[in-house]
Amino acid sequence: MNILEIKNLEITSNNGLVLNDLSLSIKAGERLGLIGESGSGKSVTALTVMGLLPSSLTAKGQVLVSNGESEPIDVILAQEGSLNKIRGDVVSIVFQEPLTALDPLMRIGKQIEEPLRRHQRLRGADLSDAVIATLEEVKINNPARIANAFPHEISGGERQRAAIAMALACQPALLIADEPTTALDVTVQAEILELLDSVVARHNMSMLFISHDLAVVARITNSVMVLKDGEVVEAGSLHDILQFQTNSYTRELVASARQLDDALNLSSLRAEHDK
Amino acid sequence: MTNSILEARNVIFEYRHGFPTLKDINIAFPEGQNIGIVGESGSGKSTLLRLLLGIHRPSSGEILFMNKKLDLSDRERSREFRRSVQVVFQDPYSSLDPRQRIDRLIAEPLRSLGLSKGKLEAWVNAQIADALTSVGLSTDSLLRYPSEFSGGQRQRIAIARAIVCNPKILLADEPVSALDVTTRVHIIELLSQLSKTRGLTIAMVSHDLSVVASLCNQTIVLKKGEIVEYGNTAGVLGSPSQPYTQKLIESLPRLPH
Repeated sequence: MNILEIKNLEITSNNGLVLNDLSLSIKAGERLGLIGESGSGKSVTALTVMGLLPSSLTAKGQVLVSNGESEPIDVILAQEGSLNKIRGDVVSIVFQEPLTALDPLMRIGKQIEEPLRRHQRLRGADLSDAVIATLEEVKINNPARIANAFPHEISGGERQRAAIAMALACQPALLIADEPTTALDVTVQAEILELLDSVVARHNMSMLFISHDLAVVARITNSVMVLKDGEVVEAGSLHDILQFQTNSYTRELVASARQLDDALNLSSLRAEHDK
Repeated sequence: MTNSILEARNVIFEYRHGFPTLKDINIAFPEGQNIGIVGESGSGKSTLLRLLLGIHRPSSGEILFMNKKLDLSDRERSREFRRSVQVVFQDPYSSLDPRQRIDRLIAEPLRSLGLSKGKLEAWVNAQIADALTSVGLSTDSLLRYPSEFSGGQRQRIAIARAIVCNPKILLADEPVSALDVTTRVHIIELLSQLSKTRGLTIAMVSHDLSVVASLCNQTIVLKKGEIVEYGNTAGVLGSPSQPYTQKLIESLPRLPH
C-alpha cells in the first residue's frame, strides 16, 4: 500500500509554473531521493506533502497520504483540522537549518513534548519518559541535559538530532528530510546520515529524502528522481543514472559529482605523493 | 626561501574572556601556492582568515605581510595591504549590497583604495569590464542589480570585485559551500583558472575536502585551534598521519562505483 502517492501535481505562482506534472509513489518502508538544484521544485514538493504550501502558490492534482491502514487523505483538499491530525503522526519533516526549525524560546524537551501530547495524549511522567526515550533514539549524549536546554545552548549537530527526534517522536509512517545535512560539517553529516538510515530502517518508515548532492543521497537510497526547473527529467536507480544518463542536465550533474569525487581519489593522490 | 605574501608567526588568538581560539599558529602563504585550510566548525579556520585579513589582531605573535609586520596604522602600508589581500565570502546573497548596480559594486575597491583617483572614467570602466569578463560574465551585466543573478553568478560578481584591484592573494571563506554541485565545480574551475592566468594565490577555508583537493596544492588541517597536519595536499589527503584527518576524509560521502 502506498504511504505517499502524488498524482499529476502542478504548482503555480504568480510568475508561472513552479512544478509541472509530478507523479510518484512511496510504499511502506520504501525510500526515494529527490535530487535537483535550487529552484528545481524539490522543496515545494515537500511543503505540499506537509500541507504547508505558502498561500502565494497554488497546487493542483492529488497528494494522497496514508499511514498504511487508514483511508488516504488528499492534503491538497484537506482542511487545517485534518492536516493537524496527520502532521507529526503520519508524516513529518526535518528541515535543512535546525536553528530555524526549532523555537528559540522553548526548551528542547518542551518542543518534543508537543507532538507526543497532541497525538499520543501522553501526560506527566509518561510524557517526560517518552521525551527522553525519543532523544535516546537519536543517540544524543546526556538526553536529560539536552531536554532542558534551549536551542542556542547546544551544537549544530545536537540541534539537528533534536529536530529529528521531534519529527520521529510519534513514529510517523513517512519522514521527509529536506537537505537535512547541508548546514552541517562533513563529520556531523556522516553521523546524521547514519542515524537517519538506521532509525528509518528500524521502524520500517518510508522516506522522501531531498538533496542536491548525489553522493549524499547515495548513502540513503538507490531509488531517485531528478528534477530540473520543475520538471522530472530522470527517475530510476541511482546506480543506473550514474552509469547512463538520458538527459543533458543529469549528465552535467553526474559529471560534476564525479569530478569532485575523483579529486578525492586517494590512490591517485598517494601515487602523486610518492612521486 | 620563497617570498611569502602573508605569514602567521607564533600566533595565538583568544576572543575576550574566551579560551584560546588559535594556539601557536605558524604558516606561510608563498606566492603561487594555493592553500586549503580545513577543519570542523569551531576549529578556528574562519578566525584564522580574519587575522590574515587584519580584521582581528593576534593576542600574541604576529601577522607578516610581504615579510614585514602588518601595521594598519601606517596608511600607505595599509592601503598596499588592502589592495594585495582580498576576500570572498561564503554567502553570495549577503555579500553584495542589493541596492547597488554591478558596475558600482565591482568598482568599490578601486574607489575605496583611492586607485581610481585622478584616473579617467574610461580607465575605471576598462578595469571593471576586465574583471567581469575574467570571471566569465558579459558586460551586459554591468547595469543590472544583484537580485537579477543566480547564486553562482553572484559568487562570480563577488570574485570580480575581489580581483579588480589585481590583488596578490585571495582569501576565500567557504566560497562554494552555499552552491549547487554543478555550480560548485564551475566556480572551482574559475578560481583555478584565475590563479594561473592572473598569478593569483588562493587561500581557501573549507570543510569540504573534495574542493580543497581540486584546487589547493597545500593543505592545513586545523583542530580546536591547532594545526595538526600541514603539507602537500596529495600527502595530507593521500596518506594522512592524523586520525582526525582520516576521520574528515572518511566522513565525506562518496559516489558508489
